[in-house]
Amino acid sequence: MTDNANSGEQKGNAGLRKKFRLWRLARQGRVPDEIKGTPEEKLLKKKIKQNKNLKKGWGLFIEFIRRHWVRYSFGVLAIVSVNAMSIVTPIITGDIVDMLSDTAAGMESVSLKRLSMLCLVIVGLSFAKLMANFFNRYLIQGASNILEYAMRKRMFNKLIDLSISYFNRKSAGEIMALASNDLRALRHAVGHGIMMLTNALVLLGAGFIYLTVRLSLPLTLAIMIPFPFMLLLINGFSRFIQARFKRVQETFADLSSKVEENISGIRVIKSFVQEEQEIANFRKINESNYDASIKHARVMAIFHPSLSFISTMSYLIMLMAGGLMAMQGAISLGEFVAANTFIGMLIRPISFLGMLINQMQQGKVSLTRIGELIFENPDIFDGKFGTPPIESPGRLSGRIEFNNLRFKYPEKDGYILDGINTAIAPGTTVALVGEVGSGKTTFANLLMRIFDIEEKGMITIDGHDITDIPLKALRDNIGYVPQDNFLFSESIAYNIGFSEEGYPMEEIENAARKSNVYGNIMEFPEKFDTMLGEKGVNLSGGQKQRICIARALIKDAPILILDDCLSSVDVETEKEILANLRDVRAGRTCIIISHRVSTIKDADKIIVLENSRIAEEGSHDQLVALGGIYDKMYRMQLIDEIEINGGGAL
Amino acid sequence: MSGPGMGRGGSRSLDQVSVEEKKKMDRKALRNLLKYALPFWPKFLLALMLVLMLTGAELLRPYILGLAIDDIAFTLDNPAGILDNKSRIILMGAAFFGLALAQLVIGYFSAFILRATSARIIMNLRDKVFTHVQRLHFPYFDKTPVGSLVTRICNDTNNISEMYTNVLVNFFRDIFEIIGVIIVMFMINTRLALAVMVVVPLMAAATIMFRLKARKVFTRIRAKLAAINIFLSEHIAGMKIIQAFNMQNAKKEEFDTVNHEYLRENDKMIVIFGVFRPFMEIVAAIATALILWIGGKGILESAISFGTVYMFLNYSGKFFQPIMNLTEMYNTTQSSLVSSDRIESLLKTGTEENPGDYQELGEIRGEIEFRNVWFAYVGENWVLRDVSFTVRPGEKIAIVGTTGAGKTTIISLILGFYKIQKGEIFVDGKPISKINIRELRKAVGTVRQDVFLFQGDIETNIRLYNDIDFELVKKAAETVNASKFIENLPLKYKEPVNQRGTTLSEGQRQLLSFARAIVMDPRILVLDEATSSVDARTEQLIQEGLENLMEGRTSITIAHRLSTIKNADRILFLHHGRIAESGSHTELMELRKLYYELYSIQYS
Repeated sequence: MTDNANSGEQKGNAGLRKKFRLWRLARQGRVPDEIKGTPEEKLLKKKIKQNKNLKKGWGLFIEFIRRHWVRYSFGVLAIVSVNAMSIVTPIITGDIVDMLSDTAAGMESVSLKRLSMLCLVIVGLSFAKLMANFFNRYLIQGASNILEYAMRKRMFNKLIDLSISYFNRKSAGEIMALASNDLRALRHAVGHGIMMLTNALVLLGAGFIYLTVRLSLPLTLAIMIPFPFMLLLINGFSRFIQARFKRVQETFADLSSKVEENISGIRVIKSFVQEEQEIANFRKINESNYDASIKHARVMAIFHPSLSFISTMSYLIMLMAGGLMAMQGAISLGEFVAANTFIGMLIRPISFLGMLINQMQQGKVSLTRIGELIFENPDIFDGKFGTPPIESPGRLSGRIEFNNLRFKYPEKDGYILDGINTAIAPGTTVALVGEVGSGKTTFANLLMRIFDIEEKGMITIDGHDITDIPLKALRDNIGYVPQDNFLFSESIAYNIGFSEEGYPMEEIENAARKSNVYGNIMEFPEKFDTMLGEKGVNLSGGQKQRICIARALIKDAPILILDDCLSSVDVETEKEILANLRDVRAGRTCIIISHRVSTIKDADKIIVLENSRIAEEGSHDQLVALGGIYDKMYRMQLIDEIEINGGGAL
Repeated sequence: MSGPGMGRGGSRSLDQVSVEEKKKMDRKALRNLLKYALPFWPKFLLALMLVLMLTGAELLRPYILGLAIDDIAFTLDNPAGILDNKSRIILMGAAFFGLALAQLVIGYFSAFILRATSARIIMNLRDKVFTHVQRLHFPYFDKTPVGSLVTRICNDTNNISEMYTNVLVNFFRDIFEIIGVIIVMFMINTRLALAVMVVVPLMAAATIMFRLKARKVFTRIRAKLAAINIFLSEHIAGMKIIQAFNMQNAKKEEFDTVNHEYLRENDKMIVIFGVFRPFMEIVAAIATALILWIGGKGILESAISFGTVYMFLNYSGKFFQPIMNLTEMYNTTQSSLVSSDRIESLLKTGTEENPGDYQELGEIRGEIEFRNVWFAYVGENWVLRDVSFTVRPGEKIAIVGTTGAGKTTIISLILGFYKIQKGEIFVDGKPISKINIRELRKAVGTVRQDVFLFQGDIETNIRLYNDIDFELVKKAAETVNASKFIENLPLKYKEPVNQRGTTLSEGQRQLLSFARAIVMDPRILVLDEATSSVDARTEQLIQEGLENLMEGRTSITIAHRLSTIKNADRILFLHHGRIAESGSHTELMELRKLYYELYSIQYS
């Protein structure tokens, strides 16, 4: 038992030492050779990166303050004057008390006159304080609002330029937490931070001077004995509270993911009559959340009373020591009263100071996280492989060649495409088929440089290496219809004319006609101004797909990529769209990704992907005659499609 | 859960309801909040008494200091009494210390009791809501997004806890304090007390004005933050499209607009707070000046003591703080009230009920009959029209038809997920409306097109939380050909599975769902064949697995595979919600009608 405890302690010590060493190394920003290849290296590198981000984030922050230094200086000046005026009130009160207690008989009317005047001064000061206070808030907190705004703007501007691989790494929830929670923590640290810090410093300084001059240094110091304890308590406790609160949040996260799973799987749960078991499972997690809450409650419940207990000790010291001194005439009655009021004025900034340390820490963590995003670099950019992009490539003709193309998604094992060699002649239609996960969509991603090829020369368009074509020009040359038919919660017209320049209404209508969605749109009361998404109508899958097609067609780009985009439209509509597309396809390179044989049958060339390679290549007839994978797929799909290609109606 | 301000699946926005209606809702919600707390009334009572004691202690402190000041003043006038008064000061110091200690202990207990009780209320409520959700009748899940139910069960209950830990107690403490201060002040000196009361109307007017203004701006700030969140989530989801269409710059501008609106609202808040808070200080300064003036005059006339003036200076501060707190409570209360309203309306939603006089299913044979069944999800939009068929025990039925013909609906009806409008469904000759629905579901094994997997391992995903021997799980997996891939996993049946089942292939997930359907050895199977294509080897495994699965059971399958159709004893061809044709493959081919058409189009 004791041995165990000892070794545990030793382990704890060793762990602590290790942690400290890592921390020191991280500060120095170097990775010593001896830990290369160990898990520590990874940790250290992460720490170094974090430090770098924090430093850069800090730089951003300093830059902001520098830019707004006039505002901040006046703001701080306003706080100082507010505090100065706050201090005057107890001093006046003390003076009044002294004046009254010293008033000799017969002098009452003189004293009364002075009393009235001092009372008016108190009221007058409060008006001046209102002005100063207003400016203080307006300047300092206003600045931190601007900081929040500016940081959020920067974040989004960075975000939108980042490559898609970033969004695969980070969940939307994480990014959104950055934009709300972390930014708010930063705003609090900055806005309240400056206010509280100035407050505390000015009040403490002035209080100390007043008390020392009017009372005595020893008494002043005695009164201030509890202050460092308050700071210690707040600091120590907040770490404790945070640790327990983290546990509460963790159990809460367990709780919501359990509920999420339960509701998502409710069909299965009901079909298999698992409700009672699910309730029991939920209860367990609910109880562990309760236990964590209780532990948290315990520290929370003890925190505030102990804080106020310690601060009361200041009053106690003043009462005992100050009271005796006043009786002996060492200090006046007015000074005794004023000192008591002062203690109250000092205790608040002290507790704020404690919380400030806390808030600053949270602000630091948030700043690191925000820095991580703001200083992230896109993986895909012009001139990435060292060569400058070609100037004004203009309209491409759409001759695409793949030379020994291989590609692997970051953070995934194995190549999804490996050794792809083929060419697409300009103006032809090529279909890609293959099982789910065979790399069809990867083709589209690589062509648009949503992801980047590993080496130059793997993909060329019109003889240019794809990475030599400016990114913007490349994407302008491609019309793309995505698999997930994503649309924005804006009007239909906005979604079809989705470009920075915008399109005239006629072109938008034309595009809608070509993709067979014009009729549907005109049935809505608001027609092309119909809002989509949460605030508007919910379109059917087929309607969405057709609007996505319109959005791609309106670009009139030489290369058109249709990624499995007819799966949700019925057979009749598919036929019509395909007929319309036939005209559109003329003179364009068209890449169609599909599961449906009917969609791709009359492509100039069909490419069958299997096991990251091209397994078969040729026209429909050629491939059917070949009797290989395509032929098998074709026949299997015909069976699968019995019900789809059947009745037509409904 | 993700960021705050995301009003997912919310009830009506607060702006849309009239003030009267809003007040009524609030009162009802408040009653509900009290209702949840009712079983714990002794604890709350105890906590309230402790809070009352705390308030008393709080009020005693300035009183002691005031007495000390009077003693000092007295000593200054009569230096002879200094010794006496010294010991009095020491006594007061001791009392002061004792008071502080008492506050420490009482403070801890009152806070802990409240927090702990509140945690228990929340736990119980959450349990109640979750249990209720498990029993909700099925159509509710069709129209309610998953996210909003998660929010109900997790976040809304959390919001309520704020009500018990902070609002409720602070409310009483503030009220106690206000009343206590008033009583003490009038007891000590009526004239000074009246002077303090003079400023109350001023303060009340300012507070009410502030409250109205702040509420409006708060609501708008929340709405703007929600707008930012919505914008972000949508644009993160659509990032690929934005980049593919070179829309980055336009989107930056759009975001700037949303972001800027939020900034503007926040700035308005600064102005409101920047005026209100300092204004309250003016009011407090007026009170101080009044006390000093009247008190000073009283001192000169020797009618009032120094200590009294000090006490009043102190009490007036204690008087203002709780009143200001009370006005700010409004915002915390709001979110609690809205949450409790949402929870209540969820708890009122109907559950699946078993008929009072239900018939025992007993040992089931597996006969199913649809007799003139009419069904619509909404109104008169008939999905099934006059459907009649009988499935004999052990018969294999394949349902074929176009999309939207009502195939999946038939399966949902057999499981009793929806109530039919006309006709009747019989299981073993007993009408489904008279059968205990849970007993029925236990007798039916289901396989769905999209396989849902639970966080856990392979074994729990097969047996779920039923109490079954591991041997049976293994046997089920073997029967449906799933054991082969399971045995190849590093941890075999203990291999962890995540919720989306991303570590398993489509085909493996299918096989797993077969094992799950068969493990309880049901007499009836309802299957919705997956349409996604799998590789030929897996296809073979699935086909064999399916055959083994159906062996000796009544089965109804929404068929996509030719093999399933051909193996069926009977095919039902569903067309526009009616059974257009029925018979074996050969019979239907000979009929040369719809089925034949469909079949030949594919192969000509």
